[in-house]
Amino acid sequence: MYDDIEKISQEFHRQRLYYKLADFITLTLVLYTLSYYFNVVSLFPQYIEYYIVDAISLDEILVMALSILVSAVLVIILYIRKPAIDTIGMIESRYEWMQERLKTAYDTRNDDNLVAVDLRNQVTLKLKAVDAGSFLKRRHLLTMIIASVVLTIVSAGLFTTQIHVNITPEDITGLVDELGGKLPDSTLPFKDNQTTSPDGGLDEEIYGETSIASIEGENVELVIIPGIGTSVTIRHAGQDDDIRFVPSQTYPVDVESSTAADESYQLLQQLSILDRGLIREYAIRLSQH
Amino acid sequence: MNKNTKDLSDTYRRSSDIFQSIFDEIGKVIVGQQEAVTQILIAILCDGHALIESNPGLGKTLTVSTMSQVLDLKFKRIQCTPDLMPSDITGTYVVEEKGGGKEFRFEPGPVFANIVLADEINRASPKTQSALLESMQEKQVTVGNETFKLDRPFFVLATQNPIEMEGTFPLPEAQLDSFLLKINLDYPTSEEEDEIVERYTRNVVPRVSRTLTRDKLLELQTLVRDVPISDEMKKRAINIVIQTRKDAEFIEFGASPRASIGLILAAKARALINARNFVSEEDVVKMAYPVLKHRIILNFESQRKGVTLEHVIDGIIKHAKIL
Repeated sequence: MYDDIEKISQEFHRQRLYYKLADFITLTLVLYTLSYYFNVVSLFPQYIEYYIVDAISLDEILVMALSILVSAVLVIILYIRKPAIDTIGMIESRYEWMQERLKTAYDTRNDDNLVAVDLRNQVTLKLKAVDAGSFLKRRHLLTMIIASVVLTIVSAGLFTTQIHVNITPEDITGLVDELGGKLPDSTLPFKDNQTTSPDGGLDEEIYGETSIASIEGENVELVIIPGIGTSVTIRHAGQDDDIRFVPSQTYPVDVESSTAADESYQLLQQLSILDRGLIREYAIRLSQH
Repeated sequence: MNKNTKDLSDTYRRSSDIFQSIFDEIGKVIVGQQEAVTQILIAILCDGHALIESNPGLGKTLTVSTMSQVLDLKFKRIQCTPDLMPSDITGTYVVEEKGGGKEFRFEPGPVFANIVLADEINRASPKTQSALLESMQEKQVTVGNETFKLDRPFFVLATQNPIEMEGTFPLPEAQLDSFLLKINLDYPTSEEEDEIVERYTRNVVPRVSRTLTRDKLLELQTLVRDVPISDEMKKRAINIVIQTRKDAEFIEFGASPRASIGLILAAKARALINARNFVSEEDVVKMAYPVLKHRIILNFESQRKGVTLEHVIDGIIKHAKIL
């Protein structure tokens, strides 16, 4: 009897694993599709140039990994709250004859008397007829599989058609305002070359007129010098500005880049993977000699 | 397989038929009272004792004497009165002439039987009550310096009359605890009374035949204790009893751990009678009433609000379910 219950229990655990897996796959696809649609990839522009696999850049892989991670966490949270599998309770709920009998037989499995043995024998016999497969929630699994297929098609479609929604911080601010949660003025982002006016507007040039403040009886100028950040430089009033642009020696500004390299790269991209590999290998060998 | 095990196995296989034939035989004499008969049998199977409370003329004596005939057990009846002495129950030494000399010989009292009916036990003096209750608990009688073992099975069925309480000695709570069950006999229904009149107004008196031997009854007592009970049901029974000590709203004193033992045993016996080889929730719930009725003392608040023992036990059973 104990072995039979153990086997059924293993089957129930396996079934729960299937549910977890199905939920995980579906959730991952949902998250990835949403990420693609809302262009979450734009959060990682620094990785756009790195390619791990052909045609898949690192930023896309990061989004994919993020979707997997978040869905894994969600699945863990979802299943950690579920009660442990009660094999005996599940069997008793499905098979009326087993009600109370199975629990009693299991609890008294170490009792060695006539009545307890008789009960165990009866239960063992009936356990053979228990179909653990019938407990599988096929509808749940089917729903998840259909959802996964649909999501795969949708994400493939989005990938092909390159449909994105670009969401900027301003969009989010607008959305917050729309929902009635208007942020305080101080938290609104500054645009470049803007500062707050006395009435709280955002229409003044930040690198504009020099303001003079009086500190301990001495007049000082408050000025933000363009190109050196947003901090305020305090100087004594009356001093001349001595800001000059000094061109770099390393990168002369008057030198224009050649388009030849770019054209070669374009041509290279048009070749097959095999040809590109061959050329890469040739170049490596050439550099070694 | 030795003989004892073989006999036990045989009794177990036939237990369902045995109980059915017992009820059929008793039914030839007793009309209705199915629940009371079952509870008396449960008390016997659990090797316990029962206290019956009923109005006069409801067939207490007839039920018990019929049961003793069916079970082939020695039956004695004690009519308790205030002047009944302990020796009238336990027995006493009498002087007997033997071989020209005189010697003491122990003359066993009515307690030396398998089934003893102590009618209107609350009319006997506390001293006599104690003598009987001691024999119930110890299953032995000590007279002078000698101890006499009582024959097995030993079952005492005491009765109490709920009316005419004047001049009685109500059993103390501690002694009430010695009874496994408290059984209430109700008046028969109109149809049942019609049948009673029909049976007992003719020249032919209903007779019963023996359906069980003493040894078989002892085997059934062994089987009752073997009936398996799940941990959940055991916990449920214990919770019910514990709850009687926690319900401060209506209960003055709750049941003792002896009630937990009694409840589980009674539930096991009920399961066996109903041809089940496990204790179900129904057994525990049904037996909670006769097991707890005489073990709970309600407080003044319950009397003021008109709350009955049945209501309190109902509440306890419901509460114990969700514990």
